[in-house]
Amino acid sequence: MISSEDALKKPLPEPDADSAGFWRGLRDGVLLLQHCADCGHVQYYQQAMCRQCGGQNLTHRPASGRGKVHSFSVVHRAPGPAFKADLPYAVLLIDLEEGPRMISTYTGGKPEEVTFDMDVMLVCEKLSEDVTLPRFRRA
Amino acid sequence: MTAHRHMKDFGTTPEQLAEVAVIQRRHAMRTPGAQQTTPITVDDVLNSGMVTTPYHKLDCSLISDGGAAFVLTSTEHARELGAENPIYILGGGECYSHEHIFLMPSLTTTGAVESSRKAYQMAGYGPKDMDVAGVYDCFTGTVIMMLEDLGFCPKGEGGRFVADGHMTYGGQIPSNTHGGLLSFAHSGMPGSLFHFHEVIAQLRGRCGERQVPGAELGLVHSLGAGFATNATTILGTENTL
Repeated sequence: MISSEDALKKPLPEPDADSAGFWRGLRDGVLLLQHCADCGHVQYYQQAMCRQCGGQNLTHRPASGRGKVHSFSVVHRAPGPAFKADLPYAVLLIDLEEGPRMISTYTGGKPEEVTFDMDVMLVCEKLSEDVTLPRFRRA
Repeated sequence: MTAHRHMKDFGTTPEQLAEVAVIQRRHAMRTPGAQQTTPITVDDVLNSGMVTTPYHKLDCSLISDGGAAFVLTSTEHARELGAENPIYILGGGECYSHEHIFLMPSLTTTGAVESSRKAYQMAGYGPKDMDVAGVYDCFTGTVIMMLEDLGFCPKGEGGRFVADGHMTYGGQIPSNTHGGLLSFAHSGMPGSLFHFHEVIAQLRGRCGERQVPGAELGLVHSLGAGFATNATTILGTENTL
């Protein structure tokens, strides 16, 4: 069970061996995707293997940051006390220009503006010295 | 986000989503022990307060305490125990499709297509043969997508299928006749066990005034982990062996 004190804090990313480089990239202002040298597959989900061919020749390349909203939901009831102040906010599923889909949230405007297939652009939002979150604004 | 994309791709409406909750509430009104038994209308659902678009409070399942159980044994042992009208597992199928929603192959077609295909094949029966179903119903939109993926209606027509009365008595596949997670109870892990309990009771002819007349074949579909884990079970009476 989460304590009521902890429930007031937003959960933050905890980088591991697979994702440390990804989170470092965001601190430097880039969204790093994994490119497979064997089959050309591009993936967002950070792991040691290519999800398409199982190969291990993955290299990080910065994404353009451009994408389209595939689906979204505007949250009106917070999942916990830490998110109450943000209401209402839009959760997005974004199809990145490079192919992968990722989950994020909308920033820089009202959630009511979000529509299907809307063009969006990456915003690196610095929360602390250690943590920068990838969010998206209208392009 | 799955239901929202379903609305965008197929024209499914908030009213059609709400209809699932209205029908299941009507079912729960005839189920002893159901948590929510006050009748509701489509307008009640649409006015119940937005939780996260497109879902209102009454589009969401309940928070409950409870449990359910059934006895699983061999035919021989059931006979030795003198079990009346034992129900048989005719087929089962599973599909695990993704880890995170952003890796879901399609937001509107789920692993229920594959899990039900395997279950029907093993059972030697198809969706048209089913008399009653228990369909996982964490949210109203889930039911619409599952009715399509389980083969009860074509992809994209789930909203109309429900609004035309096909998931209740007199329709093609009376579903969640106990009220489901939306109105009977959702006590976490036992959630789908209630669906099993209801379909088994229907096949045994023990549902009193909510009995589906002559029900011999039933389906239970469970899912979890953001549509990633799908499991379909086909159940039947002795006549169906």
